[in-house]
Amino acid sequence: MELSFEEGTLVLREIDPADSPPPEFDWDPRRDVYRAQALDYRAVVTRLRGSGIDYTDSAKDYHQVAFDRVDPQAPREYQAAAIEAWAENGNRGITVLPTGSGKSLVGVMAISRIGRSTLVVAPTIDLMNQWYDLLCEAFADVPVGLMGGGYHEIRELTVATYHSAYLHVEQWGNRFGLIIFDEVHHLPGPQFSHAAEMCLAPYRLGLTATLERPDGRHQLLDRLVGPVSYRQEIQELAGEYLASYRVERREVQMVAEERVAYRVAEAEYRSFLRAKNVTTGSAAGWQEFVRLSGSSAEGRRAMKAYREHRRIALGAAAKFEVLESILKTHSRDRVIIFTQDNETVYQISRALLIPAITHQTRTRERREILRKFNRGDYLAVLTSKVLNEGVNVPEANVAVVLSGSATIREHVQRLGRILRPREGKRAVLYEVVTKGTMEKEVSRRRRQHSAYASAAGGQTSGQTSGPADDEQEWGDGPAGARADAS
Amino acid sequence: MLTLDLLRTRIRGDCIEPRYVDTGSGRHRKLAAALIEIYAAHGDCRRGELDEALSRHSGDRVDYRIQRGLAKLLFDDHCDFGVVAALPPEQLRERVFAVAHSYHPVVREPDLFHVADRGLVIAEAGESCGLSGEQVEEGLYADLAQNHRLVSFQPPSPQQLLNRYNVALAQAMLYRCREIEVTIDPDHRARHRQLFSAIKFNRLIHTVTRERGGKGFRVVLDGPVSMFRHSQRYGVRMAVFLPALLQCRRWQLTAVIPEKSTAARGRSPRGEKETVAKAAVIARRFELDERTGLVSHYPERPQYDSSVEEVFARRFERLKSDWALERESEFIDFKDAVMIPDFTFRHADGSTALLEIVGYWRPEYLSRKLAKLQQAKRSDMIVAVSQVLNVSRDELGKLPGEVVFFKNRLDPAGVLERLEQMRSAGSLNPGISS
Repeated sequence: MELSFEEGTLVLREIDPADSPPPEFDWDPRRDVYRAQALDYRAVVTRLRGSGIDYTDSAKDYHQVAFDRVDPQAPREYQAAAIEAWAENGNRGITVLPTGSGKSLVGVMAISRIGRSTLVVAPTIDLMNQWYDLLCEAFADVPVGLMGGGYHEIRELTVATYHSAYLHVEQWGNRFGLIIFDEVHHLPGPQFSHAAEMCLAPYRLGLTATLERPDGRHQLLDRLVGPVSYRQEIQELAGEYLASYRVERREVQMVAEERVAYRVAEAEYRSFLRAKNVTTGSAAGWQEFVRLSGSSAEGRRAMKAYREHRRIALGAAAKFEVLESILKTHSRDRVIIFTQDNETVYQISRALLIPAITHQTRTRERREILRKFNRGDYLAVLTSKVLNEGVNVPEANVAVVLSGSATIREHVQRLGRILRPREGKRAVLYEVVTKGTMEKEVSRRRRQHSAYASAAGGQTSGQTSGPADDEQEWGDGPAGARADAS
Repeated sequence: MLTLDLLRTRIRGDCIEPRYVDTGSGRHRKLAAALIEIYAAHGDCRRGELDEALSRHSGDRVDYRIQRGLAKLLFDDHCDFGVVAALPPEQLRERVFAVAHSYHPVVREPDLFHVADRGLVIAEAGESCGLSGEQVEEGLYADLAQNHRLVSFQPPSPQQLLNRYNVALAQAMLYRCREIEVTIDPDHRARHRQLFSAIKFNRLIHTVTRERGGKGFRVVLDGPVSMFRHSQRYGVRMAVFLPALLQCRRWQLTAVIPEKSTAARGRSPRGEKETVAKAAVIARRFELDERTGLVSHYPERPQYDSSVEEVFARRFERLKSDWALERESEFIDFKDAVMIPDFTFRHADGSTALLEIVGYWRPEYLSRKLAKLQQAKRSDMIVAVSQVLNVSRDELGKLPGEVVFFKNRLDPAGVLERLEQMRSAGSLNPGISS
């Protein structure tokens, strides 16, 4: 029989009447062939080998490649343990390590160990670029391909974004023996999961700091990538390998006009919701609000008011003053400033002439800004959400969170920025909150995460989150609704 | 095409459909005309200004999503934007931030320790490249999408815009579908070939059957992985395919649309936690046919000349043979393509045979087609090949299957002779199974 790869699936042809197709295959009457999911390639081949059935494998199109590391740095104990556990698990599975602990080195070791054409998939273009840099340095003579951010070149070693990997899986699904999913918690979405199902790579590695998803879909990862083969939580590593850090909180007052505008906007949308008997505590409530806002002029005004009150709280003018004073205090430190939205990023960038990185920043300029920041040619960098995951700014030792949503994942990753280990490094995280607004609630929830509790000197996380409230669902409502395929 | 957030739907029972606009309504025409006017009035303006004007126009309107949909179609299909700056903005920023770094941190009120405010930095950076402070300010972030300038605008008519909008709504419905089912009427031929080539072009998989009770074809479209899991992966391809279907006559489309979050929608807030937890996927039906009145924005493709077929049919009828002639009433499923032969011959004794007339062709196309026919083991098929093209018969000599050549007109007597030969050779089935 002949095994081939077609449009992201495995197809079996020329079956000897004496043999029966492996159970992974189903008859596809639409095309009169036996078809299986590409994901089952490993199981199928193992079975065929064991059965002694004569078969031709025209499916796989990946190769043995000598990925020799240049000047390999010795892995830390937990990195070595992680790769060993993964290997023992048959070279598949997930490694959970905190941000800043060197997850990508585990990936580099896996690439070198397996020695087959490899694809690395990362959630953002920025992370894709970071992997690109890392792999170029780790395997000096190997040309590294890119899929995403305007590039489409598939090489023996390639880095892609989840989005591009999903879009083009029919093209590359048989060209890699090893696939590494960075920030693997992005993978199990209904769309992105196609990328794992429609490729035949027998060896798979997932990396993440935050495995669990609110929707529970991380359970699908077992089939898509493999089980968790190694796990270390943040507290076990803090102090040993990560820079220790302290948290400082700055409260600012809204200026009088802002306060008035805030109250007016708040009163407007709240009274609307009260009149419509909508409770503000859940995704369902948010959807109801969105629906109402589309069906009457009154609702539309209420939605505008909601956005307005949120905007005022997140961008209070006094925050600029606080930021200025922090920059004065840390005039020789490397400061990275986070804000909620791009508008604020560019507002501050123009006002204080600090370089900004957003999703609109092009690859080359972005790399240049980060390079200058790490070299000390820039002492401050501004960003919205784009630097949230694993971007390499080892020199940063001060982080300022000007405003943000309360999702725990985002906050852990923000902390991760300044946790990169270095001799004698002591990092500070400033959290700037507007007094008397819904932002305080965001901050409270943020602090419930264990990383924060320990850093903030054992501040308890006693208030467990009861019913999900306002910001958790609402703050992310519109963005979350875009889904992963957008 | 529209994004999903611009899709407005209406649910009736287990059916879902977009809220189409009435293209004849004065209100919508006025809205379309107003938007086109706003675009036209913003030549050379920044995109941010255009967006603001659009937002002012929408005000508190409940139909703001219609407006945003129309505006997006104008933006995507009728505009060009560009960056306007004295120096490439990236270079400007590099200068400005380098100067700013030398005074870090830049403050709003300079003092003994922090001597530079932004005005000083901007001026110094400008001087270094011969630009005024204003030019620096202007160009600093001219490459941000919001600062792009509207360079040119080719306005559609309000009617065109509204037509396009309705099609775009139907397309957006299909983004989330798992499969679509299309029924087509064989009497309205001509477009079927284009239809199947559009299916193939969009890499969809078809399953063709006869319509139960009717004489039409039922075509189910999905993709390779659809047999393993519910997949919305092919939805965008279905959407791209749709305008090709709109150009057919007498058709019907049904799509299954999974609705994720509707379980939580429109229920009382009480007990909503459970509702959300149980928000299992509900599948709804989306139906579309020619009476929906969607107008394809594809240009009418020229009908290929079918006079050869018409003349042949007329002349064949005149022979008064035992064979009845039917047009495009059968299909041959090659699995990766579908062929609908031009004619079916039905003999009084129940035998049937097929005829395909090939008027324009390239040799590779022809041999591929004939090889496929052989592969499909159709011994009941005659292929009539025009010799209008200057290809010698020798070159075609190697072709497999029943091939008849003709010059200007296909001779019905010759075809009849061939039919009788096939019948007596026993190569025809008493009735074609499909």
